[in-house]
Amino acid sequence: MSIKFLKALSMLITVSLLMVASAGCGGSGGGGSGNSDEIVIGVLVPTSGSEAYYGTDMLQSYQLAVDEINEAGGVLGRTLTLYQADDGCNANMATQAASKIVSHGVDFVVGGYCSGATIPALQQFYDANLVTLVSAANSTEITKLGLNQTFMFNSPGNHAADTLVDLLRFLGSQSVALIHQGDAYTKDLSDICESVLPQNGIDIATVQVMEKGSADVSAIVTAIRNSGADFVYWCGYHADGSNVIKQLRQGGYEGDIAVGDGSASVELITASGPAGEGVYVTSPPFVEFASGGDTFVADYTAKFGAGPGTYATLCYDTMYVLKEAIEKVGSTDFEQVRDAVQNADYKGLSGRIKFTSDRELEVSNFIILQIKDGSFALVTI
Amino acid sequence: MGIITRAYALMDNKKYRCLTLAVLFVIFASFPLFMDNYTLNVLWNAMFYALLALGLNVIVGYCGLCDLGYAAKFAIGAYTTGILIKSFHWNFWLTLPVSVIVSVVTAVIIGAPTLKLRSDYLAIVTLGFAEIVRITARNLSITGSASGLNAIDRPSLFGMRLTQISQWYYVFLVLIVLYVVISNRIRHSRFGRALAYIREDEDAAQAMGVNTTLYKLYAYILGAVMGGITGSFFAVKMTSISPSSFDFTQSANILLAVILGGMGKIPGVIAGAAFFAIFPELFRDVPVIGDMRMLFFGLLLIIVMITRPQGLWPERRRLEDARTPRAS
Repeated sequence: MSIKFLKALSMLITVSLLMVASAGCGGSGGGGSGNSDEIVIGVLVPTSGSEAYYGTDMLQSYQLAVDEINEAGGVLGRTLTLYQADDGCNANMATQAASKIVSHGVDFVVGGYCSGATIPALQQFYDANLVTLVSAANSTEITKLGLNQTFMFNSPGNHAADTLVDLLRFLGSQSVALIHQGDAYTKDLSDICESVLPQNGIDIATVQVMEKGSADVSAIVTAIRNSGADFVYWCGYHADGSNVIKQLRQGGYEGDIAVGDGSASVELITASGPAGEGVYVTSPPFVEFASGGDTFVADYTAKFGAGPGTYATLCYDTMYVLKEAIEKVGSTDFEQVRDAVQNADYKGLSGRIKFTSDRELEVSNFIILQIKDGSFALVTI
Repeated sequence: MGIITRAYALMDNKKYRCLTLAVLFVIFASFPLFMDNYTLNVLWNAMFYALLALGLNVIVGYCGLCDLGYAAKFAIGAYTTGILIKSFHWNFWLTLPVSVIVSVVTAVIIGAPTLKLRSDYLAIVTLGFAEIVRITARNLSITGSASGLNAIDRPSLFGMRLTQISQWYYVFLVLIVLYVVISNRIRHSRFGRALAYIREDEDAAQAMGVNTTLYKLYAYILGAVMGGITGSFFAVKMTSISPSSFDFTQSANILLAVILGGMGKIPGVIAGAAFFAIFPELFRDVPVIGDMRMLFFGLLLIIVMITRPQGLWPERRRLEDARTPRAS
């Protein structure tokens, strides 16, 4: 290939991309709150990058709820429309996505998966007076920001720790080993367990860190066996979780194992195989175990061709809480809707949604699952 | 000569340069009057990368050192400012000198032992240092461990609290002008010429009496300080920083922006950074292509590097070098 040809090719690619881009911008511009027939809801979720699966699942759940509401006549006679921006699970991208949502002139904001990306974006929504409903991100850092229009629909880490304490009491375990992966969410969960468990008379035998994607965890397995722990709590994600479970069992560890909500995925069962049998999960509300969940699963599968994911119910409920709040006050006024959400008491697929004065869930929505015969089974204590 | 080269030559012309710069400044300064927040935010991001690239340009472009861990330099500035504001409630503007001092000290610690060696060693050391900074930040409680520092207070300027993106746009525009002036002065100073000498032929430079180790260290410190100050401003603009903002990809991106734009050439480096920040944003909403934008981005990078190995807008000396191959 000659240099001249490459030059021509690069010019061609650049020009054609620019043309397509300008056409795309022209199409997506405009709209916003100027149109009084519509209520526009900004959606901040990652639809690219490593967490794209969860972001897409969340977006689809919102879409399902919005379509249902619109078919039933909309809200106050107005139709709901979604305006999505991709945060890529990255702080820098998230601030740009947030300013995109704000510039579009949306009325409300929903979304939020990765805490690290959501937190920088939240300040912008606060500055723009937008009621923001965070469906999945549950770092306690969000509460610490003290933004009075931001509500968390997922139980924060301390609820997971409380659920874990219930499970430990039930099993009679005395000494726990914690493993996290050193990022915002998993370390947050591990830190909370480290402070909550001793308050309930349970020892922390050791805290281990496993870097994301490292294949050999024998050092961690040895450390855990030497610490004498009779229970292991994996705070990380499912991708590495299955590896840890397998190597713990191969290394001769015989005590109980539980994993946090980052590993609450069917992928964990398939990847860990027989070693995964009997593993407990402190899980967000899985739709299979929710009352009324069957129709949701059927509708979702019919519409998108695949079943709903871990956070689908939370997103679905988020949209309905917003709808009820708007209908209750009869307008989309910022302060009135904010107060209506604050006082909401909604019974949804994910459980009871009622907020504390810190705008966290009052009642934990965590459930305990156990892997039995290659699928999740609900554990009632 | 191609059209592009001729256009560059026109803009390089001293007679028109002041006029061109003034017109450009007025155009950029007028953007917040009619652009929406999103566009301003994308432009702000481009300016942020341009500042980082200008800082790295002193190390890579002027002195020819290879720094693979520039993210650590701006992480140090960002964390210094963040910690002083969060834990000690300092005024933002007072944290800047501290940020400079910390940057200098760390640059000396890293640079003094390694710069005596050939510059390849520096690449490895900076790479390792960047990881050390990131992992330390992730594990110390004063840096907020993995969650990082959140809700960092916004600073005030002339009694006005800087919260709007349009305000930040102007702050960074002023910073760009400042960095450009500094870079330009360095390039045309005795110090700058010494750096160019070291870059072209270190042995010859030493033979002619240039204290290469010292000058390399100065360049390294200068680059680190510029990165540190950018980091300080980054921390208060974003209001939250976390270790994931300072990973290796970040370092690689800044280095790529410098190489892509044209090492040593100020407008080239800025153009490279702008290309990096704006290109992926442009295609975000385009159906089909939007999902594959990074693929096209990579393809375009490869083609640019094949057709213009000296960068998009190279320094004239390098351009001439490329056109007249050496005798050997």
